[in-house]
Amino acid sequence: MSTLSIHPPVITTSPSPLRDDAELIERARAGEPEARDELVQRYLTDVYRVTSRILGDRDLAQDATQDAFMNALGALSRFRGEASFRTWLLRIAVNSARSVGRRQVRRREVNIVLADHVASVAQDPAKRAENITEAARVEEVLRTLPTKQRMAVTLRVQQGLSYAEVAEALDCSEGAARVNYHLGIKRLKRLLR
Amino acid sequence: MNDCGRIRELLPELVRGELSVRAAIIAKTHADSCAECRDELRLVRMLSDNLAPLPAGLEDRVIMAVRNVRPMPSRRWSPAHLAMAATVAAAVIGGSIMYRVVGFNTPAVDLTNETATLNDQSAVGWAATEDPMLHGASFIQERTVEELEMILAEIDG
Repeated sequence: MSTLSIHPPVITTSPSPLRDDAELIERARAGEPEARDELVQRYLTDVYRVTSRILGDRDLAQDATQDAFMNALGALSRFRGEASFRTWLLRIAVNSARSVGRRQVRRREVNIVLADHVASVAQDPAKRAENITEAARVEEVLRTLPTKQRMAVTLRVQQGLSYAEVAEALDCSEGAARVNYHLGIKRLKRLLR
Repeated sequence: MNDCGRIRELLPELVRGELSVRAAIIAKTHADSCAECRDELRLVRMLSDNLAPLPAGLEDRVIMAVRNVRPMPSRRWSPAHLAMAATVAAAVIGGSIMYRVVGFNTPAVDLTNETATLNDQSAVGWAATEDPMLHGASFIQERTVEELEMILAEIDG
């Protein structure tokens, strides 16, 4: 196919929130509570999805999410803008989830995250049953991956991070992020067949 | 990187609708004609759709929690701290130079004894015998790409 010359990949992104972030961060640093609230509102879903993917437990993921925002906003003066605020925050979220996971050896047998998800997938009963099966399988298989591979897949696919940003969030090299992502995808494909 | 490799690198952006129209058409056309890429596209789409919902009340809980957070002061180095750091750095560098020139605990090697000069490990210095980088270099160079990937996964896993 001669049309496959995509060098570099042409990616169209939505308007960058970086400028808004910079302004919000400055206001939050100055102690403005509304700015802090807005940072929480803006990134809460991203942070929660990362922590829930690492911990696999809704209650623990909420604890880790809260810890992540408290740690990040407490250390805002140390954010130097080398990575985007979102990547910096997701790195803190990964560390907070690991920390909560280490503290909490007890694991719930019932997967509340999955149950919540499954309940919200679809309204049509036939479609819902089909989606439940598919979602449950993906969730179950994703859970079997080693943490770094699971996180590389999650951050790349679900959070839309580049390899450089995945590396920043996972505190590893860009090459390691790429290898972890592809190993994760290969294993998922094999297990889901 | 072959066509499949290029296309697979784009799948997360394709699913998120972040590719240009042209790149999206190219990627989709390729996936239609390639079973492996089609499988991977389906997987990436499933992963992308399979997102945990936000629990009710979490936003309020986090907002309340962060309101009580006191920001840590930024790391500003005072002149006294800088002077102390400079003294420590000078001591470390000076010690390192002394170490290289004089050496510590290096057994005296009788230069008239040929066997000791050639075979005594201590005579060739600490770095050459103990530095893990020097020991690991030949090991890494002998590994295949697959083995290195396994090592990398092992380290990062």
